[in-house]
Amino acid sequence: MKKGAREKLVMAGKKHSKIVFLCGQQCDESAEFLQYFAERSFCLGTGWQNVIGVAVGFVIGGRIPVVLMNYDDVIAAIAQIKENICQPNLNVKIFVVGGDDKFDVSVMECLPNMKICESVEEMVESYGPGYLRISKMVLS
Amino acid sequence: MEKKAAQIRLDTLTALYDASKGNVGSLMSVVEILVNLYYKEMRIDPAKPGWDGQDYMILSKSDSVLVQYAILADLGFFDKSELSYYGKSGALLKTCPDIKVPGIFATLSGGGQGLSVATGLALSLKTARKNNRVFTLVGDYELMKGQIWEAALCAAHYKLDNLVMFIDDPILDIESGVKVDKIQDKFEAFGWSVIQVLNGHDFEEISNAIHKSSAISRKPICIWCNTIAGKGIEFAERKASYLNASLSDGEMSYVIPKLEQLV
Repeated sequence: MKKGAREKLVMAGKKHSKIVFLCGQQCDESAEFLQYFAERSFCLGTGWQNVIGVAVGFVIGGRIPVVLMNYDDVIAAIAQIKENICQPNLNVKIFVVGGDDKFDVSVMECLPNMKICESVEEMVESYGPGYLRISKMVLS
Repeated sequence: MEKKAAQIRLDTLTALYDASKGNVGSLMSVVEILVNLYYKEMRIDPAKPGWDGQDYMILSKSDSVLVQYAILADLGFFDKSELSYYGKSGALLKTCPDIKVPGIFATLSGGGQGLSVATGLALSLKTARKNNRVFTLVGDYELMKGQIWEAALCAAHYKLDNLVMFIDDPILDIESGVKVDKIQDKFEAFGWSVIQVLNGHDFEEISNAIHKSSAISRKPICIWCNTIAGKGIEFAERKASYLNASLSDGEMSYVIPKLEQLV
């Protein structure tokens, strides 16, 4: 499932030249995107509040940022996700790996304009903030 | 430019008084910086808001947004009458920057968020090989937010020489609590180039700093401005008590005619 989602993200990147991939640090996902889209993949450091702000900057620059986050890091940046992305309804996609509960999804459901997506296609093809979580349970 | 600054102060104070809100000290300290950028240094065209060649201002110091609104209204981004509804329920102009307002590029609140957005925008422009510049204005209190330093590290890593951050560092009569000092040393240690402006209300000094910043390559630029809280209102200058205060009827009737004489 994880590999499938990753491959679909790569396909989405090939289809949409405006997509940029933002991550905190080098990981399996970012390594793959760096391989395919060296000029559109950015490892920004694990300051996740900053990563969300940078994603907003990319939207102003006319891009579609896909932020790759770990489950544990999402809540650390929840104020920025709400105020900078969801309230102004910006086209930022958040792709999260890990976690075995639904706490983050429950929180995201409360945010204005945030769409909880069930597939990469749904996340990428719809306009506005999108959240896709690939859980450890699904992975196993 | 001095006349324009006086007019912006007048418009800002009037809107602030109508809204019965505070922040006088915090608003007045940034007037010259923003007036200089919008009327002299930045490439903008109110008739073409999405213009590809424009420069950008991301106001991180969100409690000074009313000054930016007054300038945008004066430049024709929206009707000046909107200023009289500032901060009211259902009004276009909120107390924090909002992308619904023409000329504003990001919705920000809470402080410390604008530098990250400016970093992302500068990175986006640089990777698209565009030569637009991105300006941001940060308040001294925002330097205590961790997000500022996350963004500072990121901007230096990507060598964003198209990013210029102004720091509004106002002088107050009472300094208490934790304050970030050695600003130059800290940002230089993070890989930034720092230019100090000793008088952040002197147009020539601000312009010189911006021109110097144009010659710097492969480093983001910090223009550290020493300013005066409450500048332009003589009884409020440097007074910590006016930082988040509003003016009374008597104070307004004293200040407004003085500013009108300067316009």
